[in-house]
Amino acid sequence: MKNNEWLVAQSFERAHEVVSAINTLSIRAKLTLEGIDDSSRDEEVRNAQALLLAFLDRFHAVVEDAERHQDRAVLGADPRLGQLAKKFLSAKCEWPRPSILYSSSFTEIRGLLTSKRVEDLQGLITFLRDLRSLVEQHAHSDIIDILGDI
Amino acid sequence: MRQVLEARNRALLLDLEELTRALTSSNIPRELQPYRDRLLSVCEQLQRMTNRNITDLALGQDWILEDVLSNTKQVTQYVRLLSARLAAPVLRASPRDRLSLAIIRWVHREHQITASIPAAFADGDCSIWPFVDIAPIYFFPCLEQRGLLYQPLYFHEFGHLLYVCHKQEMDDLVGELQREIEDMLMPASQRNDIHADAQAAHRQSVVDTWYKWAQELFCDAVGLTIGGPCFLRAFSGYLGTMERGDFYRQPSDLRRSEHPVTWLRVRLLVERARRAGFPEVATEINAEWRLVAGTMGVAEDYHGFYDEALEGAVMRTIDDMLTEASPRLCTESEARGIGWDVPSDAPISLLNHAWGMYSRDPGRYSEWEAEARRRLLG
Repeated sequence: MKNNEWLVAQSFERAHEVVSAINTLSIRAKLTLEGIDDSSRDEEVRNAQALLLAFLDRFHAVVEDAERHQDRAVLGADPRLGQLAKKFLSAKCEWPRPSILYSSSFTEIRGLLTSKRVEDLQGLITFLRDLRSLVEQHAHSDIIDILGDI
Repeated sequence: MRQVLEARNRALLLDLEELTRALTSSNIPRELQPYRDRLLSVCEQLQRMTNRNITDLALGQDWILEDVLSNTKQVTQYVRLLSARLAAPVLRASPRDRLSLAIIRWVHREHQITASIPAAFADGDCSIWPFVDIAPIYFFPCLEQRGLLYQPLYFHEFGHLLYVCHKQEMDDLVGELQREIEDMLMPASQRNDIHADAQAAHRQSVVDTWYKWAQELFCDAVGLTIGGPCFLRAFSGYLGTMERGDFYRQPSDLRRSEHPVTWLRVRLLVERARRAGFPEVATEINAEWRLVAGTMGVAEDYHGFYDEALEGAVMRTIDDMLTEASPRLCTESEARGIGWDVPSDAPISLLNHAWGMYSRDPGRYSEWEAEARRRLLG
């Protein structure tokens, strides 16, 4: 049975779900700030928010484990998610911290995602942009493994 | 940028229309219909996403261009995935696919959590892409997909799908095993020198490796649970290439390995087969592997990646994972494989029967198999 294709496929699918959710929430936040009605996306927004919160809860646990045991891989997490956590921690150590994604706690990020306050939207947009960049960069090798390269 | 994205999204719509046409017009076996329906619904969903991108672009908001760009990339990747791999089972369908499709469909239906997941496979080495949002796709070698003998290997791949369906619980169990292995490998006293660093690095690579190994061993156990003796025979026959690497690997190879050493997998399967009440096949397969190892002069050595002391923890974890996933259990009469009655018996009886027929008279097996296949597929 071949190199762990199951691992690559899972990682590919997870990245797609997360990035789609990010895009939906980001567009909603920007259109809200511009005063443009976006109610046709209401259900998508609810699903995207639930998906992203679930992802962040899991990611938080993996990051915490990676932080506690920096000399080894994360236990009980698929290696691709563990590697993403390590990239996150490495960016977090940079100074000045590149963005709100790295300078806020997961509780604060959760608060941003569930906030109804318009004042929080700008912070949310920045956070989503940086999370997307982290996930998309990390997913590149999965995309190549699945779709190949010419 | 807006024009570029609009042009790209319009091109994607054309691709999706063409793909939909091709999928719809393909002549397929009836077992593949649910998979085709699933792909068509994915195409519809992608068309909706693409139209949404075009609508968003029409808002004229530069601020959201980065989001639409990302959404366009997402659709592009999915269209490529469909075109490159996922559409192949439909676009290149053949009446010969019916046997593998029937086996995959049967195993999916036997499990509550996978019952509604459509069956599909494409040519390739044994593997699976366990996509849950679209649909999983199995890969299987051309020759083996046509006969009965190696069909049980699909049950190993099905194990990966079960793992994804119970991912969190499975990951937790594997995490506990990794912790246990880490504790076992920890020396009673630790030095503070280069040697200690090397030991720590080795310990870490062993623990890391066990995430993938545990899943593979779980899938082996799923295969045996569902198929009984026929799985062990198919597994040993297909993976036993009589390569030295089946029995022994250098530490550097073990560190990068995606799968446990095949001999170790066979050993653990043999032990599980004994416990499951299949002692004859267990003894036979064990003896065969020992004979080849003896002839090659290979001694068991896993360089610390596996040790007898780990067997209890590994077996217990795999047992717990099986309890969580609860794959269908091969019955005693199915395992005996004495005969097979259409349509009341599960195909497991036939797959075990097939190995019995093959062992007794390989020369006449093909003729028998053709008739059995015809009866199975109706």
